[in-house]
Amino acid sequence: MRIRALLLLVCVSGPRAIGAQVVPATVARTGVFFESYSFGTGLAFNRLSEMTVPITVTHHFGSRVTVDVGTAFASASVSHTGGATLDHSGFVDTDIRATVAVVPGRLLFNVVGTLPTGATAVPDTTIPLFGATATDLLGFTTPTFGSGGGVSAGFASAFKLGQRWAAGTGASYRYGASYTPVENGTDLVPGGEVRVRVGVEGPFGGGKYFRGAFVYTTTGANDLGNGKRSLIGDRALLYAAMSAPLGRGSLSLYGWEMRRFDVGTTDTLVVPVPRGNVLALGVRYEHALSPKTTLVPLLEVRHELTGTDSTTSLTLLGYLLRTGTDFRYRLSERALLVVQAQVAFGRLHDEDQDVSLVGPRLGAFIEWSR
Amino acid sequence: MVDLRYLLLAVGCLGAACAGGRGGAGGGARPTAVAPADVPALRAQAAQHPSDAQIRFRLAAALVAAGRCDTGVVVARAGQTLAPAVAAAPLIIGACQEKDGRPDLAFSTYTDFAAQHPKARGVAAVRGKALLALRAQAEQTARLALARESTLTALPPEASTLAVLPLTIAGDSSFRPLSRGLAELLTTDLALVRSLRLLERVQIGALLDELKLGQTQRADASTAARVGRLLRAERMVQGVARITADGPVNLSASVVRGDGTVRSGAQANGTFRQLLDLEKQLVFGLASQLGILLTEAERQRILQQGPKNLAAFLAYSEGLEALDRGDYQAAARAFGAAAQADPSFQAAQDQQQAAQAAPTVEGGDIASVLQEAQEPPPPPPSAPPITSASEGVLGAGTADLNPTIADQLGATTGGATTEQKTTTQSQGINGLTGVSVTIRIIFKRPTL
Repeated sequence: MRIRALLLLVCVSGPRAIGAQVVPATVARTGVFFESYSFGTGLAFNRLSEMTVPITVTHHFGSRVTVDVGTAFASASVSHTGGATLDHSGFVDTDIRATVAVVPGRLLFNVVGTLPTGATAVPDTTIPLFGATATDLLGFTTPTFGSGGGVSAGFASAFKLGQRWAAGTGASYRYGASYTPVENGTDLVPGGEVRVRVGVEGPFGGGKYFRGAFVYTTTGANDLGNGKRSLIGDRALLYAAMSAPLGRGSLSLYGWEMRRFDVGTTDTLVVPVPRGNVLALGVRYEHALSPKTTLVPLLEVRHELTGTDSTTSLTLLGYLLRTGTDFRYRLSERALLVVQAQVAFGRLHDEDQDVSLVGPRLGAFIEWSR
Repeated sequence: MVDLRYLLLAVGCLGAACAGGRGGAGGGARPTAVAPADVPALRAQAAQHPSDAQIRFRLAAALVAAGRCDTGVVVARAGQTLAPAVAAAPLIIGACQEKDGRPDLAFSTYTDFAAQHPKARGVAAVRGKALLALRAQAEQTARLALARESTLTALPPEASTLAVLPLTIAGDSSFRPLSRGLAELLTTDLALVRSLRLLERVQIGALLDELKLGQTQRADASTAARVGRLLRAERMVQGVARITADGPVNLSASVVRGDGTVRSGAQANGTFRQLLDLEKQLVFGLASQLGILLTEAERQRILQQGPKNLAAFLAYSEGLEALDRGDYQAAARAFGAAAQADPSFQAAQDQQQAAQAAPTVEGGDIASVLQEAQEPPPPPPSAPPITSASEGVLGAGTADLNPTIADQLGATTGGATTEQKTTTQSQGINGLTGVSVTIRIIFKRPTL
């Protein structure tokens, strides 16, 4: 029987993991996001806005190799209370990531090359803008605009835990190329960065699914020239998420906490990044309105603490409540449209001043797959 | 119908092996026959030793032999509470249910036990009995449905009930076994969707056999609608597989309602080697077509379930075909080959057990089947299955350790279970309040 011959044929190829292969060969995404925050009196700024046009392509080469390419065009501006405006527009860096399934379902190796297509050697007057968009509390789509590029490599492994659960470990190292961040300034030589991750996930009672992980990151000193260095303390990130069926949809609860530790030096030639703590808790519900449309309302609370050194306690930097919804519409078998509308309310605390903030996040983008 | 004489022997055998009873858990005792005349003595023993499951099972068997299935079932259930992992209870209870003309209840009794105690001694016999009960039920249902067709078609369908017809195989006839295999895979995958109730493939096959339809007629939407009405299924899935060994493969599926309306669209294209992946794609396409938003857990379970190896699936399909024509030996061989090719393919192992046991059970020599069932259960697969949780760990690990902007957008489209996005402030750039008074150095970090 011919089917037996085919049987022998496929026997030679051995077992294969299905999960990794039930994906389209190519997925491309693009769209536009706009975020803007208005601040009450007390800060140097009264409005901060950013627009991002991301472009990403993911392609699977066979069953073992996946390549992601991602970049974005971003435009940001910040208005000073005095009326002046700082702005910046341009592409950000381009990331090219190759992921190789060394042992399918068990061990991945990945390498990321960051091409310095973004902003470098910017005027020092725009630096406050870049700092503002990097605020964890606000969570901008594009938090940074450029660097000297670099290379990162790492692995992720998975181990079975019982019948249906899995645990995983992973690590990565990043090398950053030197560049001149500020016009007419000195070169910056980034320190290497190591990340280690331990995670666990799996289904449990009644169609629920859990994912949790701990990621620890440590970064070497950045050489600023002239004997100066900038330092950031180690970061510990703990996150967990659970999804469960509810009615005609799926409810997801998630939370993460990231602690940034003190740099541990009082050297006057060191520019330290203050220690801090960011906590986020959220809930999201995916509700199918029809075969083609899905509504995804979301509610998230974010809270950030900061402190100058280990001798003083962490103080409140601010908190933010974000709510809104995604509206997903399947245009065709290959195309998905997502429209996002959110609004955030919160307060920032700075040097004994309590400042309100409010602003929308609007977005629309298309995912195309084949 | 079960030969109760053999059942009595079997109960003696299994009772000796039952956990929690005086017989201990070791097994190895020889079958001991019980007869209706033993009922008084066994009653006295049961009163003296109320926690002895073995005595309860022997008493239940004696009662059944005396034609007192009602009391026998009660006693067997009492024994089951003492020793839930002993196969004697479902065999006694199921035998009485079959005797009572309820193979559907017997099937539930057998399958519930096998699901709860997949490694229990005697589970092979229970699976064999389940297989036969299912066939009996399917044939009974099919005959009744045809006899009452005019009444059934006037009744509304049962909500959310879905039936997957055998797929029409277009192309090389040597792929014909895949008609059943793909239908089985679609059925078991769609059954994981919480809002759907899937009809047994065997039940659909029995009805089609009664209708005596050719493949061409089976592919007709009006036939699907008729089958749906006869089965009182709300919707029918009618699929076509265009398969060539060295060329493109196309799987497509339509959803047919009882009123004959057809909704088509779910498709998957690829190569023969990608057949298993294509089937999963078809399931996701069908879910979308049915208006169902799969949860992440459902997606993961669907991806995780079933064979991971095409050779295993081909063998499994052959096994199903052999099973449907009543060739249990050939079916057992094919399922064995499937289990060997993919040790994680649990359905193949279960079907192999059932097919091996079925001839003995069907022939009435249940004692020998249960004797065989006292052998140690089959060893676990030599290699643990690759789970989708592992894929999740690997994917999340990559996104955490070496992220790109594609990961962030993927989360927005619903591609990620976990919501977690942080910015580069955590990596070294001071935030909003800091920059209002201080100039900082800018450097790029991947989002953590």
